[in-house]
Amino acid sequence: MATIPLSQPPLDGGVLDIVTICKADRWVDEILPRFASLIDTNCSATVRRHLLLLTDAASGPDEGRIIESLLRANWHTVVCKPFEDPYPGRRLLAFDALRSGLLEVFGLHEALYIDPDTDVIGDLQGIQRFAPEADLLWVANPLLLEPVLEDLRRHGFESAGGPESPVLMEPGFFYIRRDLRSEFDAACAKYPDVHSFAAGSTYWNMVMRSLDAKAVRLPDDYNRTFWDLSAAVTSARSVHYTGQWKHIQPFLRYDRADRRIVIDPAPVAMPATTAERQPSALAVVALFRDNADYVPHAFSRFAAWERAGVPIRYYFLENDSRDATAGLLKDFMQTRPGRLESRRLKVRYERRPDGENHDRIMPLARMRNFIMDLAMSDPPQAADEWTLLLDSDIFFPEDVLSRIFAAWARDPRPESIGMLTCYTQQLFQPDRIPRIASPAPGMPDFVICDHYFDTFAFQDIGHRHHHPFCGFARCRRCREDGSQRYPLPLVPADRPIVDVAAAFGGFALVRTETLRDPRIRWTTYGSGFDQDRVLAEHVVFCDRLRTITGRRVVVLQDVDCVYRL
Amino acid sequence: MASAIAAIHVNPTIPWHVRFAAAAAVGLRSIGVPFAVTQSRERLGHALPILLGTTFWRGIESSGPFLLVDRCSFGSPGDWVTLVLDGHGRRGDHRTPAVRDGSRWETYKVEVRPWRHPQGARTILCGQTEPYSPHYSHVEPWYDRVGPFCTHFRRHPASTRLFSKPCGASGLPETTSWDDVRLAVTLNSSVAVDTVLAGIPTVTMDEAAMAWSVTSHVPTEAVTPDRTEWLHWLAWTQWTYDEIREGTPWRRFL
Repeated sequence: MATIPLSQPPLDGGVLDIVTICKADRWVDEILPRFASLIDTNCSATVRRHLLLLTDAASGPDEGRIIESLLRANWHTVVCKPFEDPYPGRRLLAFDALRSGLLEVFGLHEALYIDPDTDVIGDLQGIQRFAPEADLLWVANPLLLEPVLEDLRRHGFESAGGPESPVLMEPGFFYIRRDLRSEFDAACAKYPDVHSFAAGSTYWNMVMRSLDAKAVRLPDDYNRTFWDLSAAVTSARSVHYTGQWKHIQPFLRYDRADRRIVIDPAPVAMPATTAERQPSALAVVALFRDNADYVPHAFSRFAAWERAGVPIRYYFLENDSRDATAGLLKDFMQTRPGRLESRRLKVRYERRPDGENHDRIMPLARMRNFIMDLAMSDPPQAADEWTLLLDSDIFFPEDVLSRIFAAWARDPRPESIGMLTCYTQQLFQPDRIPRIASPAPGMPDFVICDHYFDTFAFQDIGHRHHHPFCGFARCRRCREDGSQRYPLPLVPADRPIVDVAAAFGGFALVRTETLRDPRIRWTTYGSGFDQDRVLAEHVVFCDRLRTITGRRVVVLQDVDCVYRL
Repeated sequence: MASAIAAIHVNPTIPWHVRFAAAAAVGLRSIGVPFAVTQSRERLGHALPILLGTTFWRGIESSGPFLLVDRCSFGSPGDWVTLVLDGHGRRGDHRTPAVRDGSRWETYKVEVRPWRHPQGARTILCGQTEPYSPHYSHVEPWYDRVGPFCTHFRRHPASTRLFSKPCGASGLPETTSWDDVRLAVTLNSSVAVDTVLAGIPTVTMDEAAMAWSVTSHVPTEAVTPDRTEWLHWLAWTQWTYDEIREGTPWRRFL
């Protein structure tokens, strides 16, 4: 068994559009599923895959089945058009020409083109922020193709015998910010007498050189052409196979833990694509007050999920805001399904720092029930729709849903889980926890220490309330505060899915069918005259959910990318 | 290069979207139309957006021409879809032929029952999940207007509760029966086609209602006009999946 080390861990980032071209032939079943799966597995945040599917006279009746399988594999856009070869007899040149005009085809402003027989084995996110002034970002082809070099020298694009070794662009992987079709066609027309061996490569290199400073070379690890085991693919984020290695591609498996490629004796089964790791539909239920600074963050995430194809309906209750919250919510809801309610409460509920008193918790519970009842009065968009219960000032990455449902799928009995909550971490100012702080990914002004924030709503599986401590062994803050002598058992750090009696964390997913039972709602209870310490409304909610449905409430310890200010 | 002429906007998590896209792909291919299938909530270049259902594509609807693929008016939704340009229901353009004989309608042999005499005791208010009407932003104000004229309420099949908030129809008893009915009242729901085909005098109160031309528009008034011409028109507003797959309707719309 041969092994090859893998690439660096992922960057964070925004939407990345990846485009490719494929004929409507056996590659649709044999190559594209692997291409899609590896992109979804290894690229962070939102990636949209786009396909130009070229048909010919023979592929007609199969078109319906192909479209169906591509949609199920979550291709964002598939453009189908008949294949017309304007360069007959010139091997693959028509495909190179198509690549130069792909942005118009998909209506995109910029995109990353990758040949479909490329394995994406590292994170390509962030490439879209590289050299933003450039029209073309390219990678070098480690193979110096002599016929191409000869053509470039003959037509003055490359000097012969210069001090530096020539570098060729690899036209199977590049990022474009404008279509280069006119430049490509001009090169084809002006220099018709090039070698037919790799004419497309020759013309792309002419275009790249003619763009001068507008064409910028990417670091070599973004894509490597792989023709031999000793080749420099050890740090590659994507690998393009050539020669005999094209045939062995289905047998290659990527071992992320050991950062190596393994050659298996049988074809490798690919992991699920994002389509299989997303909920079919989502309802978002949230309360807002004076959150004008926060809501743009949530909106950007919702929009990303919509772009990724998740149908979402929204139910927002805004009350008594003195800032622009109500207007922002109204603008957002203009073209979206759901309901926005803006209300003025007769009695403003208390906002005391400890937040455990009846006069705060009971109004909150009533408001949660009001907007939930509205949400449940509308039909779900899919039978297996989930409802997101979101609190304000909760920060989360675009790919949080994929992470949650991937974690959920790893549970031995996922169908028995009724409520998924995250390991929501408290954000701190750096000077508050100087000795135990670590950076908070994506939140540069804050630090974290694995402290679970929602200690008020949390009760472990033994119904023990740890508040104000968080009850998790991994928390460095609670341990620093004296947990060496802590009298209660702590949740071990190595348990990815933690069954609990109650939890919320400001970001929780519940099956919509569960919430259509009007008994599963929020309330609170005190214990006598002392109304300053009542039960968190989520404790009652979780208790009802567990006892009425028989399903579990869990905290996903590995999904710790959700933060609370 | 030539871009797509039509773009089918799909939510791949919804089974009928996938089924329709597959059928449409075969049909568009058969007539040589380059097309795209996309999850995008935005227009794809200059391609005519083919929007599946009314839920997800409001941003596209509000920004230019579109072809809506909607629930059929008669027959099984598993067999038929309605195709309409630039609007919902009758408010859009179905591209029906100028001369419509009865041949298409008669092909499908849908039962049309004689008008019931408007002598029943019950006026049934037929609920909707959304108004889809420029006259009403929510259904509750319309319920407020017609509730006093009605004796019973029939909830929309997709609704799980009678009313999401108190309104002028809140006190009406719920019914699922059409017995002893004098009038069915709806804003623009497709239930009006069902009631008209069943011979129940019907009131529609928004011009988008597919049964607008054979119904009254006053919540107390029953009309029983000749339905023949309307039925012939209705037959050209919807298409079978086989026709979609064969490419039959596309030339009318592209």
